[in-house]
Amino acid sequence: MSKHQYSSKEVFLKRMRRDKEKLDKAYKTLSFEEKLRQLVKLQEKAWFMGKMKFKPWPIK
Amino acid sequence: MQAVLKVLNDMVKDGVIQDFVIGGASALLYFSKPTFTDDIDVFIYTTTHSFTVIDLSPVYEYLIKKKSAVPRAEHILLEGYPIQFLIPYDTLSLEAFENAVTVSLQNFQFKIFNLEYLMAIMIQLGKAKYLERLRVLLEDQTFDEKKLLSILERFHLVQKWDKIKKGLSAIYE
Repeated sequence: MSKHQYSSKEVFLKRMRRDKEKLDKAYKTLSFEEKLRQLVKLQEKAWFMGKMKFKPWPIK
Repeated sequence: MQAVLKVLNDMVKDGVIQDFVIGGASALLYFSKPTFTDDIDVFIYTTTHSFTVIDLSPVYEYLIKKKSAVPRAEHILLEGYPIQFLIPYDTLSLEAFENAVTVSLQNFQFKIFNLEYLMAIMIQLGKAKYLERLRVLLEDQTFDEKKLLSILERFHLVQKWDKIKKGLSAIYE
């Protein structure tokens, strides 16, 4: 159960959209190297879930 | 990644390949949000290039002997990275190869497929995982629509693209 309580579904959706827009803007400012790091994080999650054929890429 | 780029540059220097271009999700990463992938697609061009006979044994021999790479099914593990070597397999991928853009990562300069060509290849192949990537790109709107349409027209993919867009909007809107 989330700690946050929203007064209505509309408020919740509005906040969700605002957060998504922020996240989208943040992604656009990321460098290629930073995005590579994020990809490795995704791979690590997939690895622990048994969804990867190979180990996550080394960060170097 | 830099370690892989160094090896790929060595391969060009040593004449094993003439040129290379990074494709797939690793190239898409440059233009968009990270999408899941477990390998790096490397398109290569060799002097023995042909659409009918594809022989990657000189590439594999070089990597195993000189770079301690380990082959695993269709991949080769290089410095811990699973690499899939591909050869431009049709006119679209060959055109994408020729129109690749140069980008840099730290001290390395390398070529990746142009965003519009990446999209055209995804539309052409139409795999389920590509639909999600196309959805994200449609949402971001960072691509040049005119450029994409001119590529799609030349390769008779406009109808397929329209169908994909309709399908995506039906699911997500």
